Amino acid sequence: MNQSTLGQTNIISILFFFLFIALTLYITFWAAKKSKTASDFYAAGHSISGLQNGLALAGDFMSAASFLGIAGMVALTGFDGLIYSVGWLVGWPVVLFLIAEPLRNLGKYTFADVVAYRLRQKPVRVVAAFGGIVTVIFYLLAQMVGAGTLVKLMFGLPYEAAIIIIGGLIIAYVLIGGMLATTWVQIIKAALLLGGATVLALLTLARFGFHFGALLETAEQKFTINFLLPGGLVKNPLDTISLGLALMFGTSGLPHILMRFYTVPNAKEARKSVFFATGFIGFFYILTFILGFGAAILVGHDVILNIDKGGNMAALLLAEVLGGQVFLGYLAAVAFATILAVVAGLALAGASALSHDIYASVIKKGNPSEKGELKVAKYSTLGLGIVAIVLGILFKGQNVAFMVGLAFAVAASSNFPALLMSILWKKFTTPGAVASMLAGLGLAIILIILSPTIWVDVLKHPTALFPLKNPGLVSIPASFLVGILVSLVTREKEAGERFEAEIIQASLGAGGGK
Amino acid sequence: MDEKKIFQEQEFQELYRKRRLVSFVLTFLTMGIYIFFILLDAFDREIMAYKVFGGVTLGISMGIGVIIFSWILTGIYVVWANQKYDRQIESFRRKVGNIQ
Repeated sequence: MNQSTLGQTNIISILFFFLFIALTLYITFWAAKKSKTASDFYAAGHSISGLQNGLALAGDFMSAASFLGIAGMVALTGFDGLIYSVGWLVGWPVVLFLIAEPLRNLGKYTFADVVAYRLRQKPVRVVAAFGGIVTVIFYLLAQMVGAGTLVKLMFGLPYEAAIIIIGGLIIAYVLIGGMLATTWVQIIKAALLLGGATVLALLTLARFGFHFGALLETAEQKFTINFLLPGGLVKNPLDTISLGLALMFGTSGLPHILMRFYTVPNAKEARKSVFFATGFIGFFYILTFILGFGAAILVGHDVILNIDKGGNMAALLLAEVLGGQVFLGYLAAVAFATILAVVAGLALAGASALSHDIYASVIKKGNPSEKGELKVAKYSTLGLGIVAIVLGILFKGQNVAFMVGLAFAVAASSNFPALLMSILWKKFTTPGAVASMLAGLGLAIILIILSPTIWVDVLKHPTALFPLKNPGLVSIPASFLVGILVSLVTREKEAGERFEAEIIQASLGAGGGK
Repeated sequence: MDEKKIFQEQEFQELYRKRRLVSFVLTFLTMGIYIFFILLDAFDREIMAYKVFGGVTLGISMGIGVIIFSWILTGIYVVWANQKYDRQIESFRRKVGNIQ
């Protein structure tokens, strides 16, 4: 490939994008008619099926960063990209085995419902909501800044305009259509993206006689066997394992993922949804691997690097080579849609932490008027949408790729340990939960600042004070340890007494044995 | 029947322990396979170059294998939980309801 039309205004792409917006806004108004109660707004009235929720969950993970970023990483580094994507997948079985079912049976709308189940509401809710919001904001920031840059690269649209369009649309989806609209936007996007990536992978394989081995052999001839072997990513295996642990347990602590388990009617559907999600995501990463190899061979490293140093445009360039302007336009529009769908889910998760955990459970002590809670939820959504726009513009041009890793580290170190201990451990106490969440949150943030990720790459110091790029290996066990130690030195009789009720409800569903 | 009694029922204890055991075993299996894959990548680069079939290396088969295996594990858990475990839970729930 010699040159690309990427970055010029692409009419086809804009057309596809308007089609997507029209369709999703239509769905949003349809959803608005069905959404009246708080349960509708937060949890789509528990009306989503396991398969639909599986697609929506998969959609949350098939973000622009993972589609464009991992394809780019495979295109530039080969096998390392596969190692990286495997880390993203293995969190899903953990969500299923440890979290999905008790979460669905014990909680109402947020993960803090479960952490605070038998502990003192006020301190636990406040800290859990804080951890949830911090996770959401880091994730959101990475999505927004990445989005602005991508849109500029793809359409030539100014950065600020892209940010404001995204912010405005997600506010509309969530505010008007609540969780039902947010879920369907995510489902449609996931289907469009999976469809597009499958066609692109088939077009790639067609060039190699539909022979996966031939694709790999061509890459080997062109880039030597090193391209098919582990490279820089596992030079320090502790680094990779630390990142892997953060991804593995972070998935079980992401508020926007956990919230989706309340949209299905029962634990059975919740389990099924993880099975479908894992299948879709795994299939998608295998496709992404094929696309990365295809791009390396058919587009070439020079062209990929020329357009974007990070390699983010590899999949789109491949689409241009194999499917021409129309296919490029389609895929670029879907990549933009991807960002919208993920950010909408994040905004809803953040808003529910404010309205359900802080307003309804702490300020109104668990007895809010439904109208009042919904009102606060909607104002919070509007507020978070505006925060997303402002942060997106403030951080323009900054290197925020590490923000996603940080969001996972915080989720794995702050939200996940408290959630797990509250489900499993009788002697867990309120001070234990609060200390565990604060320690996890604090350590994750402090260690990542001292790590090569920020201390060297962003702040330009010569050597890092903490050797690992991701804090997970230290901050996750530390959070468990702090939670255990503090719980052991404090006693909370009522919390221990309510443990049996919690286990019964977690196993038998709401209403316990009654 | 109150909560304490339900919790102390032997049948409930067995169900609770069994589910916890299955969850933990599968979680550690997933973690173990992933960490094994990373360590093998890090310490035995040569073996990853071994060609399994027609141009496909051991490393790539293993990477894709871990993805597929994780998915199969979720499938095993869902089939077990949605059929066997849920049926036992349902029968226990009926029994508890009857005593009440």
